[in-house]
Amino acid sequence: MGLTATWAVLVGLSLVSTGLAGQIGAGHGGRAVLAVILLLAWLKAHLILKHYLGLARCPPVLRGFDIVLALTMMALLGLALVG
Amino acid sequence: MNAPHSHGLLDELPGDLMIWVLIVSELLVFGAGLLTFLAVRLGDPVGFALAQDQLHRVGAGVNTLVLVTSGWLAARGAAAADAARLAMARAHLAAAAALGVVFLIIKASEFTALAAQGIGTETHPFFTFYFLLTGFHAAHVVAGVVIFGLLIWRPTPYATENGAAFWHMVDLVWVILFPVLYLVR
Repeated sequence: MGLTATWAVLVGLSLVSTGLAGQIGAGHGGRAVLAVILLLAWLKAHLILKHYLGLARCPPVLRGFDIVLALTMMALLGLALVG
Repeated sequence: MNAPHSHGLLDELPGDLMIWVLIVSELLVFGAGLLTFLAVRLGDPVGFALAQDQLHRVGAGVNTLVLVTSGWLAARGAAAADAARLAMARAHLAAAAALGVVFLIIKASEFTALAAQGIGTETHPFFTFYFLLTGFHAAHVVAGVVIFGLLIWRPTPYATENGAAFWHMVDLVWVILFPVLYLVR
């Protein structure tokens, strides 16, 4: 994926997040929405690391970041759902 | 005869090793801050939700669009500098910096609106974390804009690659910070 295609996907994902933000503002925040929001955040982080930061050239390091970020997101989701 | 010294994976990392040390350090700091924020929230989820309702979620969503677009421009600027297309590199870096300023203006308007309501760092634990984390992030945006200024002056491939990497780190932190502070409830 090139830089411009990555940007387009990031914009699309950000628009979905912003749309969900509007839903939450209207009082429609559920557990599934929360999980989707954090999944979108992980996807955006993955794309930034892979294409903007150039880790596509270094897959083992990208995998390491992906795993640690996924574990962090799961911990954040767990704390959010318990609260 | 000694073999050339090699660090394996570290040699394959794009940019300088120190920028990656910085990226990992920043992710750890902000990650710890966000985990602590949600842990403290467990003691008062209703109060945190009421406090969060004072934030402008759509404005923060717009700021996400601003930063990812700025990141795209910075990446294109770095690619142009690497190809020795200096005028194009400077134009992209200037546009990236301008969007960094737009981000700061939107953020400042949010801070100002909260201050006008009498909301500060000691109003509620939510706002202590909110101002600390977003303020620290905004300080990084300011630093990134200054770095862009230096890169526009002298866009060498090495400096531009690492300056852009700093900006992508700022972008990366925001895409994680935004949903946790503004959307989780």
